[in-house]
Amino acid sequence: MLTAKSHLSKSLVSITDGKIVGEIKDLYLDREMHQVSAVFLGREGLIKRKTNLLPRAAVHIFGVDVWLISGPDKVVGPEEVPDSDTFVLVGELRGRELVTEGGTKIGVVDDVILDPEARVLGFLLGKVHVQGPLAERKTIAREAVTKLGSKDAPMAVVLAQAEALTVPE
Amino acid sequence: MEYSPSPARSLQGRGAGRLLALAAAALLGLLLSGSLALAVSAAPAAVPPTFVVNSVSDAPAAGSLTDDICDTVFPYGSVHTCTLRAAIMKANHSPEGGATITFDPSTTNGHAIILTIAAQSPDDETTGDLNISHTTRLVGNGAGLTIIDGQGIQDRVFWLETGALVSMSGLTVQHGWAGQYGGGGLYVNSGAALTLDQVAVISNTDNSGLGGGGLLSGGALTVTHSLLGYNKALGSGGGLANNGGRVAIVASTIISNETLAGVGGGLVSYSGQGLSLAQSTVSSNTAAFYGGGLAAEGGYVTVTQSTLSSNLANLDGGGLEALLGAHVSLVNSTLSQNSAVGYGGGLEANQNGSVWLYNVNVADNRADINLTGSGKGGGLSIGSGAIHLQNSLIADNFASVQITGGSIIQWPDDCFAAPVSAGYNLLTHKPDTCSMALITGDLLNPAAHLGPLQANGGPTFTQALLPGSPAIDAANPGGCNDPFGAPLPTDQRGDRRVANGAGATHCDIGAFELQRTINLPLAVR
Repeated sequence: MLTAKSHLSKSLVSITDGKIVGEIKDLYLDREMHQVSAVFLGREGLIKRKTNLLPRAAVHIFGVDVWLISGPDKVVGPEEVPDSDTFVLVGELRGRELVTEGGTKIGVVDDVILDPEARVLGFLLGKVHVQGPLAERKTIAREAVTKLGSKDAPMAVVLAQAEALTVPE
Repeated sequence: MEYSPSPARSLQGRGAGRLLALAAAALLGLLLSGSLALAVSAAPAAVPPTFVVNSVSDAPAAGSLTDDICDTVFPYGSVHTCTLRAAIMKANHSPEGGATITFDPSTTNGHAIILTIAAQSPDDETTGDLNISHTTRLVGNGAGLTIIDGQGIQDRVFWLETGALVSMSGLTVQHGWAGQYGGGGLYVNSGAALTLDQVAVISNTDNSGLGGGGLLSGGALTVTHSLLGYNKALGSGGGLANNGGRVAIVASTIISNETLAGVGGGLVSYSGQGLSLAQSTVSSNTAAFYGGGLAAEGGYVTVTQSTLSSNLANLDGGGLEALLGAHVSLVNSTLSQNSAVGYGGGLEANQNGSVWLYNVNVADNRADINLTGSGKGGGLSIGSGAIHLQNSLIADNFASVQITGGSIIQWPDDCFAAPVSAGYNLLTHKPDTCSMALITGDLLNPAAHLGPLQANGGPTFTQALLPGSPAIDAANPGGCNDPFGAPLPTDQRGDRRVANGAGATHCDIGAFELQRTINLPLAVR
């Protein structure tokens, strides 16, 4: 199972000359959490901390060992990536509560499950507060999530759908 | 028999005489008019043509193949549609030869040129892969911008015919697929020459079993500042197969390639004029059998200032395997974090293969990673070959050992069988299964004090010697020499040799030379 965590620390290698440009410090998802929308490469500068991003379009191969990217010049600041202010950092998603639409606690997000093209398949749960299939699988498919929540608000899922839908291996 | 000219030949003779008289008269006129110099300079020179690809479609050339006009429609209009296939066809037949093919940024940048004309029989230049038969330069706008994609044809992308002298720069070759002959992305025939500079060869597949997922060459191949990545071969050489030609790779990266049923996950070189690898990285490649990073099956292979790391062999020789009489020299290079299911996590010499190490690090490699008890020599292993080493550092490698009770565990193991020391090597763990005789200058010390594999300057990752390392200043007092006995002026990074602050004039054991550190006196007011 590919997860966002499994990609962390992977090198970003430029196809222009084979050199390592940086490494994956974290991943951004788009607002609707359908796919990885950018790579977070970290911050630089002592006083004015500048964030370095690599937009999804610059990723040539989401590889299992390294990611191949179009070139070092594709690493930019957030202001140069459209809608970057709406992106969700996976690191900040970790720990978000999952509840039913009625408010019953289901569990807590631990990681994001991705397909080989870095599209979101679902979420890996850390804690699970319910019994049954979810407790066994500890995964929830993206389609089962009806509200994505925010830093202060939990995600909402339809429990029956969450139990019925499995995340593809 | 007396010679009798034919009537036609007599006529030609008379005609020639008349032409000569006319030419003489014209020359005289030119001299008189003082315009001879002008006439000579105005004579048409054979200027090689340049074709500008302005379409990402796949269509053959139209019109005469020798007219140096690249278009896919004839009669030609005022605006030409020049596809890559059409440009190559015109280049192949250009009377002047030496054509240059460039790519119009406004129509091709960032849009893959996808080949769509499936191979027909005969597979000539009009269908299937792009056949190049003449001297040609392809100048892309950068590997991230000019992308040539074979996904639509079930064929490789480029086929270089004997006699073709080709250079490619600033482009990507991807998604080629070779069902026969090998060479998923590119095939270089014997007698052809190819230079790749700043080219990415990625995600190509050899499905023929003949090898070379990215590239198979029987000719002369030079690769600089390029990337071979995520290619797969059913045969040998996941990234590249040198099939009896001559290959030089400089400042390039061979990464995440794989053989499904062959040797040499990254590279394989068969007997021939050999393969040289310099200032390059071979990393994260996987071989079904031998040589996760590189397999030499005969011939000469030279590795200098390069790093082979994190490669995996599902049999022996995680980083490198020398077989079938191959002669491999490693100079100022690092083998680190490679793994083998069987013997030789770092490297193995077998079947009369031989390996010479000159100021090399073989560190943090593992053999028998599945803990089956069937592999030894975490760093070095010898089957029926030979390994010679001088001024080299063999440290912190692991294999397996069966302990009381039957369990098999990872255990420090730098070597297996009998590598031959030329002196001044450092080993951290020499198990009973390693019968290497220690000679003058050899050290056996469990604490090598090596840093992690990382960027320490220079073109590749290296492992720094940390303060207190017994390798510092411990190489041969006669100098750190290359295979020809000449002093190595630099270490793997390109930093000068004999530069350390311990005061000795000896260079360091291994690929890394600790540079002089200057302790400035602290002024206290």
